[in-house]
Amino acid sequence: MVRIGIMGLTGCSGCQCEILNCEDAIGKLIGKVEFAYFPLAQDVNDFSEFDILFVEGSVSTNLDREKLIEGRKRAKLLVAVGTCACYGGVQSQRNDEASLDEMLKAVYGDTKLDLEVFKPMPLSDVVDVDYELPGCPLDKRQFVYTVASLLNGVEPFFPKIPVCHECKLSETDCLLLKGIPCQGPVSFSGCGAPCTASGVGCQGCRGNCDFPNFDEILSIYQEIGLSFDDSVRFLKVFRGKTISGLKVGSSNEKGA
Amino acid sequence: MLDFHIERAKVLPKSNLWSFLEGLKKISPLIAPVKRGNKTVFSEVNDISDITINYTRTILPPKKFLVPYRRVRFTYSTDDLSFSSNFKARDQIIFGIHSCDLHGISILDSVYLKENPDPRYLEVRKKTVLIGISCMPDDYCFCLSTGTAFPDGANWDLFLTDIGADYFVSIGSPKGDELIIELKELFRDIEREDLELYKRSTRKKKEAFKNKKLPDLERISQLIELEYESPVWDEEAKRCLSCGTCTNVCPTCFCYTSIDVPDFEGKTVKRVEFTTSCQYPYYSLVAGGHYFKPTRTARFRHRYYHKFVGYPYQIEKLGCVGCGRCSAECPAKISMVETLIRLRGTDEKEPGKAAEQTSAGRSL
Repeated sequence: MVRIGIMGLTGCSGCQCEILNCEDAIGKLIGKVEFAYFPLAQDVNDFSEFDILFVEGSVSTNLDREKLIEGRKRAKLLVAVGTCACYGGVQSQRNDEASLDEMLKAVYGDTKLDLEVFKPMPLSDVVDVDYELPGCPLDKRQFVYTVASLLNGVEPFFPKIPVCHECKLSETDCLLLKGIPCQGPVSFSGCGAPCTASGVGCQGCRGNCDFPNFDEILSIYQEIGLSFDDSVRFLKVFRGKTISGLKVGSSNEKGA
Repeated sequence: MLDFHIERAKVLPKSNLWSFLEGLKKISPLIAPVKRGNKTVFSEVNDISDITINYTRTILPPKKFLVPYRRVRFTYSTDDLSFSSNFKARDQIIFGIHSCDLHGISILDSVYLKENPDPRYLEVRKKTVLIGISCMPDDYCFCLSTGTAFPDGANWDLFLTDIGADYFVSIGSPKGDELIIELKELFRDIEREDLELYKRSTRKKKEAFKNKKLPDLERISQLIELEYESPVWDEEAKRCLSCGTCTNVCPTCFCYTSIDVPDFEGKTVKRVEFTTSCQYPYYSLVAGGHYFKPTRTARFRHRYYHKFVGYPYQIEKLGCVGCGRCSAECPAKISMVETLIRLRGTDEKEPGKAAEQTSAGRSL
């Protein structure tokens, strides 16, 4: 039987909860796969070996790192679930603005910590990751689709197209044109654009789409009244490592 | 039985419009423009009082009821590779389509039915009744340039032109004729006076374009070919977010991609097709990681090239109907009209200053 593991590192466990919310899919899966390791959901767990290991959360302590390296050794496929695991998450949004000492001082003062702590980083900084399912939380349909594909030896397909695609096809009025800051044009779709449908600008929780045009989006934000610094901070919230060192004014074209 | 003697036109008094719509809804599911927030969208209506008669443009064209944006083409079994599909077209009436969108559907008809007809599209099209309505342009419309300001051809069934107290109803097909016969108590015959009013309404729409910026589309195919290396492409594409909105809202864009989605058991696999856009980098990505359209400029230009060179080559019509959606919905406010005017060099700016003025114009 296919052995599946679901483990969490530094994060809110929201993605694991979201996986638990896939009741229909889990119902169908039980009997076909074995949930060998899923401490959030069950008491008896076995961390020996996995066909697919889903890992949520960012790596921010030595414990996280050891567990992840151990997990990687025991898993045939390792899938990062959620924005923390894929990009570092909200906890890494200011990684490039302060040193680790400054951060620790600000949060813990002079308290001595009995574990090794580092700046939150995505799984891919520590181990090889086979697939990434970003999102805060991850999208349930994408999780189900990924599991179904991997179980049958099919590559899951996630084109990195912008959120505008799903937003426009659900006939949502463009928020940027209404003057509401929205990251739709530079963010990776797959969520179904629920935020924009309820009038909240996309927060970019799924990270970058292919070749995002940050220059233009920054100039649009400034046109609708955000300061330059606020515009950059807004973009940085969820993008973690994928935007640190954002250079404005340079072309984002990579060519191929 | 159908009386095969198509009347040229009828008159529908405005006071009968709602009875007409009520009558249509009894015949088959009715799709019409309805308000959503500040915008209008085509939607199936349960209550005809939701229908908006006066609107400028919907976010998405009525295309979505002919070719859904996401569709399951078929499912197949991995055991014996047998295919199955539970697709069935249903009868539908789409009411309130503007002339540009009718032309858009006529272009889709050419694309889907001319060579290698798509049987599914044909089935949907056979079961769909298209009823148009006249409109007045706003600042984004340029249908007068594309020759799509008035209904043409015979791909639609009825067309209502506002002539004041009445609608002048042109009949475009036997299906339209049948509807008129079905609801004949609501119509009256045309008189000379109605014809005069009809001509006047045509003039009125043309005059409404007088003070608008319109692109000159004369020999546009050659222009785009000859200006292939123009710096205008780079300058305009710099602002492009590659968000794909322009193609997603376009009444004539038809590109799609497909993926196979297996179920957990791996017994049946769904072939899912969904709309895609030439503005996305992955659109031109092939095995080995090569991008045929590697830069934003290449992708940006590709859309114009296809609309104004590709379509005429394929179907002998421009691929643009001047509905203005791509410009009206663009988050970066890139205007198709503006780009075409700049390409032709008729924007009356000094060549060196053109670029500066564009970027400065945006912060206003």
